[in-house]
Amino acid sequence: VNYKAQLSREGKLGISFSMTKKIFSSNFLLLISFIFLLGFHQKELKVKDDRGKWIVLSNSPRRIISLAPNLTEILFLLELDSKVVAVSNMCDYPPEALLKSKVGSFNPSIERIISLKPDLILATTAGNRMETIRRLETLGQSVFVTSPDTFNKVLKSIVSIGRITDKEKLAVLKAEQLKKRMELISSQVRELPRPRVLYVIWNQPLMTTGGNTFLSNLIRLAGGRSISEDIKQNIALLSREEIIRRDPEVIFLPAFQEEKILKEFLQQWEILTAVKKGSVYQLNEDLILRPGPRIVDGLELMVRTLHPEAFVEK
Amino acid sequence: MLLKSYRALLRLAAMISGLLILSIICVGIGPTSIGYRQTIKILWQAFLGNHFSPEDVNAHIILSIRFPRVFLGALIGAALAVAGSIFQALIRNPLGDPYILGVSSGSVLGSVIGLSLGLGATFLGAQLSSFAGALIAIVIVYKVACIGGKIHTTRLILAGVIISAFFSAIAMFIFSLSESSTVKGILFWMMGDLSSQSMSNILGVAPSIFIGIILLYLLSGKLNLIMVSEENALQLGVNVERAKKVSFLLCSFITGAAVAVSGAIGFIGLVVPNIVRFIWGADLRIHIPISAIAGAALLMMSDTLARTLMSPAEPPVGVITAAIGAPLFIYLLKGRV
Repeated sequence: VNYKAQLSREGKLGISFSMTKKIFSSNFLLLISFIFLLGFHQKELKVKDDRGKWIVLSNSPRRIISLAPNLTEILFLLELDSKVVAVSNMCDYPPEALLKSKVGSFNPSIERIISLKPDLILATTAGNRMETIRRLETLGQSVFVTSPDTFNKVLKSIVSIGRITDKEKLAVLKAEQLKKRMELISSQVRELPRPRVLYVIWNQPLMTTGGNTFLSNLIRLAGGRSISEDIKQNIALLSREEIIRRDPEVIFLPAFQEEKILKEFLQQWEILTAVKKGSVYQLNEDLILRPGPRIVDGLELMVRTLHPEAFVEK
Repeated sequence: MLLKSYRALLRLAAMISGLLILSIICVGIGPTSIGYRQTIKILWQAFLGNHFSPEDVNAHIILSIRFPRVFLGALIGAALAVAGSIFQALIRNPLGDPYILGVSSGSVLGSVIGLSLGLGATFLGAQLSSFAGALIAIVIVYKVACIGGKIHTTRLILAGVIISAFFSAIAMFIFSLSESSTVKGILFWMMGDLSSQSMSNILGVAPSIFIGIILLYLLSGKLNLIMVSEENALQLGVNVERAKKVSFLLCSFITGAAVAVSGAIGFIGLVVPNIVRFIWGADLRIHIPISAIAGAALLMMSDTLARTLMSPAEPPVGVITAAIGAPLFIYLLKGRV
C-alpha cells in the first residue's frame, strides 16, 4: 500500500510539475501580463478636494464637465480637451471652450448635466451654489470642488485637478513652470516700496477684495498692498469716508461698458491720491479674477502697471 | 343638496385628473428631448415598481430630476395657495398672504439663522428653524393686532407688513456678515428655487403639508361661519378664537414647511385664492381644494418655464410666478370692475 501511494504521489508530482512548467511557459505569463494590464487600466483615483472631501474615481475620467471658467482653463492646460464634454456659459477661454456644449451658469440645469453622463464634475465655491453641488452629489455624481484663496493654492488646485483627472505628471510640471515664472516676476518687485492699491470689483456700491482672497495675495505678489487687506470677508464694502482715510495710490477698475461711468467715477473720487496722480487703470479682469493658469499673466500685467521701472532694464 | 355635493365631487375629480395630466406634460418638457411616449412609459414602469438600470439616462432624468421637481412644485404651490386662502378668509381681506402677514419673512429669517448656526445641514434642522421663524412672526403679528381679545384686520395687515420688513432687515444684516459666495446662494434661494431638493427631502415635507391642508379643510365649515360673522359663529357654538388660532398655526406650519425647501416663492399665495374666489366663490369647502389644485398647477407650470425658458441657465422660479401672477391678477381685477 505504501509503495503504491508513493508511486501515485510521484506520479501526481510528475504531472503537476509538468503542468506548472506548461503554465509558466504560456498561460501563466499571459495571465500575469493581463492582470498588470488591468491594474494599469483600472486605476483608482482618490484625491481630497478643497472641502476636505475625498473624491474617488474607479477609472480615469473620460467625460468631464466644468462649472467655472478657471476650471475650464485648467482642464485645457492639462490637455484634457477631448475629455471635456461641457462647460459653463461663462467659459470663454481658450476659444475652443466656446465650442463645447453649455450647461448654464450660476444656476445650471441639473438635467442638462446628468443627460451628458459625466464621470467627473468640477466646481468652485465662489462661482457655484452649494445647493447645486449637493444636489448633483445626491444624484450620484462625483463633484470635485476647489476654493483657492492664495496664489499657491491656485497652483495646488491645478495639481489636485491633475491628480483626479489622471494627469498628475503634466499638472506638476505646469504648476512648477507657473511658480517659477511667478517667482521671477515677483522677485523683481519684492524690495520696492509697496503702493496702496484699491482693486474695485464693482463700483456701485463700491466693492473691493477682502484680505483672505487670492486677489489680495496677488496684489502683494505684484508689489502692492490692498487697502482692504485687514478685512476678513471675501468682499469688502468700505464706506466713502474709510476709502478717503485709506487713500489709495493706485486704483484698478473693472472694464466699464460706457466711458461716462469712468468719468463719473473719477469725478466722484477726485480727492484720492491715485486719481490726482492719474494712476487709475482698467486691467483685463479675466487674467486677474480667474484663479486659473493665466493668473501669472495677470500678475505680470499688474507688476508692469504698479512698477513699470522694474521692467525697464530688461 | 345631495346633487350639489355630487356635482362638486365630480368637478373635483375632473380637476384632479386635469392636474395629473398637466403634471405628466410638465414632466415631459425639459432641455433633453425624451418624448411623451417614452416619458409615460418610464413613469408607468416606475409606478409598477420596476427598476431601471443606472445606465438609462432618460429614466434617471425623468424619475430623479424632473418628477421630484414637478412634484415639489405641486406641493409648494398647493401649500402656499391654501395658506393664502385661509389667511384671506380669516382677516376678511383679499390682501391676506403669507408674505403680507410676515409669515414668509419669518420662516426665511428662521432658515437663515438656522443656516448660519449650521442647523440647515440636516433636513429636520432646516424645517424646524423655518417653522419656528414662521410661528414667531405670526404670534407677534397676532399679539399686535389683538386688542381686548379681538383681532383688528387693519392692524393685522399693518403689523404683518412691519414685521415682514423688520425680519427681512435682520436677514439682510446676517447676509452682510457672511461670506459673499454664500450670500449669492442665499439670495437666490430667497427668490424661490425648486431646483436643488432631492426626492428624500421632498418626501420629508410632503406629510406636513398634506396633513396641514387636510386639517384646514376639516376646519373649513367653522371658518365659513367665522368669515361671514364672528358673532353668528359664536351663537352657533363655534369656539371662534380657538378656531382662528389653530388655523393661523396650521397656515404658519405649512408655509414654514414650504419655505424650508423652496425659499420664499411669491404671488402664489396672493393671486391663486383671489382668482379662485372670482370664479368659484368664497365657500371654503370648495375654495380650499380648488385653491390647492390651482396653486399646484400654477407653480408646476411656472417651474417648467423656469427650467426651459433660458435653458440651460435657470432663473429662480419666484421671478416667473411674479411675472405670470401680477398681470393675470391685474387682468382679472380690471375685468371685474
